[in-house]
Amino acid sequence: MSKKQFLKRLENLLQVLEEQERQEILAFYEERFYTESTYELKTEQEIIDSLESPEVIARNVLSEYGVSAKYVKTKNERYSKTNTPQVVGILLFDLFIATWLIPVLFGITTALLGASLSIFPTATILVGNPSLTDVYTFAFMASGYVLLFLFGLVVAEAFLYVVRSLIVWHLNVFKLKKRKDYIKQVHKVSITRWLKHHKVINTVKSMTLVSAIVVGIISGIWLFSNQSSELHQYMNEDLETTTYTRDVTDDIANNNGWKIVTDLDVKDIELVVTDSTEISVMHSYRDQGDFELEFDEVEDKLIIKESTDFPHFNFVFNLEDVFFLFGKREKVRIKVPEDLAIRHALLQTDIGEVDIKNISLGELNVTATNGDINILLVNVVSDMTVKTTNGLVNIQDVESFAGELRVVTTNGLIDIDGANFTNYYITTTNGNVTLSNLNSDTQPYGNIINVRTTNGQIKLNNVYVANVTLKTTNGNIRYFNTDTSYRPNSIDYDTTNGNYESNVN
Amino acid sequence: MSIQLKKGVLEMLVLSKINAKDSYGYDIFQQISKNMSISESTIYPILRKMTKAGLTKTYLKESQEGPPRKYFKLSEKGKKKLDILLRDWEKFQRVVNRMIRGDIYE
Repeated sequence: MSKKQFLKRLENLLQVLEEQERQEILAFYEERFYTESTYELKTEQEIIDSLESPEVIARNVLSEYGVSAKYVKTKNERYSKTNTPQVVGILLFDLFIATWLIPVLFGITTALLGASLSIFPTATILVGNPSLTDVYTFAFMASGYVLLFLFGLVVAEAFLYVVRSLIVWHLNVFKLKKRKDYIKQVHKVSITRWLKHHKVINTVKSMTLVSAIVVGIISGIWLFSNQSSELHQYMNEDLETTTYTRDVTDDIANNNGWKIVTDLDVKDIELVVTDSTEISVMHSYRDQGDFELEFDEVEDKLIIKESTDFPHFNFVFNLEDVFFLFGKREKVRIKVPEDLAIRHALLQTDIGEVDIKNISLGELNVTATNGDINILLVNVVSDMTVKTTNGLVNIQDVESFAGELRVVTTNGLIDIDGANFTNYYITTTNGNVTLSNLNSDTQPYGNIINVRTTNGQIKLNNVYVANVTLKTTNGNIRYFNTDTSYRPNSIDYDTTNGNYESNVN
Repeated sequence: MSIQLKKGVLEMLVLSKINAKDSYGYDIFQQISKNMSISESTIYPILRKMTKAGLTKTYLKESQEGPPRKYFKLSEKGKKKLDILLRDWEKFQRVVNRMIRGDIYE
C-alpha cells in the first residue's frame, strides 16, 4: 500500500463524516507522512507499518464522532452476509465443473496409485532361479513403479489441493459461522504437511525417489545395451502356425449347417470364405498354451477355446510377458467353404480384433471386450449382434432378410454404412454414432431404429426407417435424407446439451 | 487499562498537555502515549472537536526543515474548561478512592 492508497482508503471509510471534518482528519495523517519522511527519513511503507490500518483508524475516529462503527465493516463483518451472485456462481461451478472435475481427479489419483501396486506381481519375476536379465528387468520395472507411485502422490496432493480450495471457497461463500476453525482443519489435510511433521518418512521418500531414478537409469542402460537385440528379435519373430482342417463336402451336398463358436482370451479373430470344400482354422501363436479346437461332427459344430486364466499375465511375470506388448498379435483365422451353410457364428475374444468379411450366415454374434470389430459384406438370415466395451465398431454393407441389428459399445464409436435390417438398436455411452444408407436402396423400409449415446453425437444420413428414436445427453443430433419425400411415422429425438438438425419430418 | 476509563480522561489529558506547551497533533499523541497506551486515531478527532468547541486555537508554525505544522494552544475557554475538568477529577478520584478503601476497611 502506498501513501496515496492509504489516504484514499481512509477517505472512503470516513465517507459518513462531513467534508471538512474528513479533510481535517486526513490532514493529520498527511502531516504524519510528511513529518516522518522529512525528519525521520522513513519510507512510506515504514510509516504505514507504524500506523494503524485505515479500518482501525476509521472505527476509532467515527466512534469519537459518535458514529456507529457498523459503517466501517470489520473483515469479519464484511464476510458475514452471503452475496447472491457469488452463490449463483458457486452453484453453477458445482453443477457443471465440480461434478466431473472431482471424480476425474480422484480417478487419476487412484489409478496411478493403484497401478503402482503392480510392483507386487512384478516381483514374481524373481521367483525360482532368476537370470541376470530377470533381475535387471525387475529393477527397471520396479523403479518405474516406484516413480509412478511418487508421481501418484504428487497428483494426490494436487487433488487434495483442489478439494481444500473448493471447501474453503464454499465455506466463505456460504458464510458459515466458525468457518475459520473449519478452514484451519481443512488445511491440515495435506500430504506435504503430513510429511513435514514426519521427517523420517519424508527422508525415506526423498531417498526412494533418488534411488529409483538411479536404479532405473542403471538397469535401463544395462537392459538396453544387453537386451535390445533380444527385444528386437522378439518383435520381429514370426509366430508359429498350426492349421486344422476338416473336409465338409458331404455337409455341403446335404446342406447341413454348421455352427462356429469361439471363446478366446487374447487373440484376433478373422472369419472369411474360401472356395475349397474344407473348413480350415489357422492358429498363429507364440505359445500353444491350452488352445483347444474341436470339430464336433455330431452337432456340426466348430469349437475353438482358450482357457488361460485371466488376466493373461497370470500373476507370474516373465520377460516374455513384457515383450508380448511389442510382439505380433496372435490370431485365429477361420476359413469356411463358400457353399457351406453356417447356421450361427458366435465369436468371442477378450482382447483382440474381430474381422468378418464377405460371408453369409444364419445368425451372427460378435463380442470383443477390448478390440475393434469390423464387419464387411455380410448377409445374415436373422439377427446380427455386435458387442464391445472398449473398441470401435465398423459395419459396412450388411443385410438381413428379417432380422435385427444390435450394436453395443461403451467407449467406442459406431459407424455403420449400408445395411438392410428390419430393426436397429444402437447403443454406446462415450462415442459418436454415424449411420449412413440404412434401407436406402431396397424396400422394404426398416421398422424401428433406436439410437442411444450419452456423450457423443448422432449422425444419420439416408436412413429410411419408420419409427426413429434418437437420444443423447451431450451431443448434437443430425438426420438428413436425400429422398426428402420419405416420411417416417415417428421421430423421437432428445438431446440435453446439443441441438437437433434435420430435413426429415 | 480499561478503554472506557481512558476515554473519560483523554480530553483532560490533551488539554493539560496543550496547556503546558503549545504543540502539534502527533507530538500530543506521543507525549500521552509515553505513559498510557492509546490509539493515535482517537486523538485527532478529540483535537478537532475541541477546536470546534472553541477550547483550542490553532496556528501554523514554520519548522526548520519541513513544512509548517498546525500547532494547538488553549483559548481562555479552554483554560476554564481544563480547570473545571481538573477540579472534577480531584473530586472524582477522592470519592472513588474513599469508596474503594471504605469497602476494604469496613
